[in-house]
Amino acid sequence: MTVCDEQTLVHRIQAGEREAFEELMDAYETRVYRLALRFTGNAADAEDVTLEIFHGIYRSIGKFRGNSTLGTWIYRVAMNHCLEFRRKRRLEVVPYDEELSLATTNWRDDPVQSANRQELSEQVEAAINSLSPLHRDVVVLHELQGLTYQEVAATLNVPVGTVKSRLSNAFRRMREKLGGYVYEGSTGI
Amino acid sequence: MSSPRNNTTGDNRQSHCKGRFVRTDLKAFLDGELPRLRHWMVSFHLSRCANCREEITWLQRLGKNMRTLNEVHPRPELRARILATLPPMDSVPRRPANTATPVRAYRRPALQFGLAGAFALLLAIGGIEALQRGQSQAGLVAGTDGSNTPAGIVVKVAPTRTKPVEQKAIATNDSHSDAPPADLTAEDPTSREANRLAALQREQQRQSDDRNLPGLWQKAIAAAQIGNSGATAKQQKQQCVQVAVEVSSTETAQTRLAAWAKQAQAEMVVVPNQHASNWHGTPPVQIILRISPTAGNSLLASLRASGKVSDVSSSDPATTVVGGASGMQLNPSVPTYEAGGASHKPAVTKLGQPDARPVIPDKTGVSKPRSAELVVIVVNLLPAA
Repeated sequence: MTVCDEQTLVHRIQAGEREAFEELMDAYETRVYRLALRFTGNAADAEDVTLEIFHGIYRSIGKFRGNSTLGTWIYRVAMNHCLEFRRKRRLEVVPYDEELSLATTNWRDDPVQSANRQELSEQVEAAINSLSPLHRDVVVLHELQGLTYQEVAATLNVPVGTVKSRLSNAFRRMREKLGGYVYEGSTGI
Repeated sequence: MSSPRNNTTGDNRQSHCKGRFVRTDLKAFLDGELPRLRHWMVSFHLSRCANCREEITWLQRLGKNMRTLNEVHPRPELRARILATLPPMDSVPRRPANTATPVRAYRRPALQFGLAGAFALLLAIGGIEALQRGQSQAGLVAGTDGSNTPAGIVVKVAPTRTKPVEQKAIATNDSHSDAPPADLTAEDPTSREANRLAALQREQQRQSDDRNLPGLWQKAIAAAQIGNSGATAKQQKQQCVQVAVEVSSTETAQTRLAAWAKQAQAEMVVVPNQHASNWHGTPPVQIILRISPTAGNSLLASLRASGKVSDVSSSDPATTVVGGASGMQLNPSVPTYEAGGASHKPAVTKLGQPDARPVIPDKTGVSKPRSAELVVIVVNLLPAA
């Protein structure tokens, strides 16, 4: 979605057009849900947080001034809700949730390959969850949500250099944790 | 089942390489988030360091693995639940996008330089707009006709453009009558809407320009930004023309310019390029010449008169570039300098002609050369890709 499209969409939502908000949900619902799931650790809480996030977006979109892209603004709102959730629950380490890795397993795959992937997913999940919240947030936003360094920096309100160093440190720690677990098999992953 | 491999342990990584600064950049290198020069340095290091190559391969695999974790989808019921329970929207008066107060993150001092760069970028993009309107002129080669100007330089000069301030004034005149408004503080809803639409159109145009930017234009813009940060305030207030020149060898061009400057009794300063990190390969060189208008016009004319190589430039648009920023605009047909910008009143002065402004002697009573009598030409030598 281009910036111009985003602005048009925002203006339509601000004008009270419900279909426009549904378009916004089409674009961001899955991403926001995945982010919430990463912070909450279970689907029920993730749905609640996602609902709160979109309610928050709808309520405050009238205040959106276009200083950043719509995506960055949405991620900032979403991160605020996720961090609030974390603060309330005092979840320093998100527990490993079976649902996360189950979703990565496709029963149509070769059973051995699927099992390998399942195990690898568990290990990578564990490595991500072992990171400190600061490092994990950056990894989640950049690696899992696909935000650029600049977007992550704007979302977390930190300098780009901080994003870069946190990401580098996070991967260094994950490497120490995973060691040689990340294999170069023929699974295409 | 996968199992740990022996050759990718953390201990190996810790001891393999003294270039710690490179290791910390590997992730950003992989993500394409490094400045160009830094990117080149890391890739050079990688060509020599097997351990770092192994590390980057590992990072690549982990990244791919992590992305496969993200295949979760919300239940369809969630969407219906959200839509069914939407709260009322906050009634906040809307404001035009460009008049909003920046968020705190963008007011950090470190980013102010970035904002200055963005301003220069906007000015340079304005040059592209004019180029697209067909107001630009050809690339030139100087000095092959026996003139005393340096040869072998291919240049395309910046087109002029209407300044944003003027555009705003025009828009205001269009949307308001000549009668003074009764209440100066009241915001006209019609003009607010018009401003918003204009902002949308500008943004659309900007995005279109961004998509059409050839690589060397971007380099030229990067070079033009140096004019903002590198030139002193004194230089900024002088007549100043900035051009970006693509050369096959910066050393040769620099030598020729130096020889010519000596002959023309020009002051010449070579400035280290502050934006070299934006470049692949050999960094560009910036040369500031402080010369008489006559000599300046001679140089500019030589650049202008090289229609012989316009075929080369037109057949490959990326071979000819130009810089122009910070209010410096060079009209290809008549070399002029608009001393614009927010700091002082705009004025147009033709190089080589006396300044029409009254001469004010300084405290010692000595009439020193004024800005109209000495001009500054900033030449950015861009190494050919």
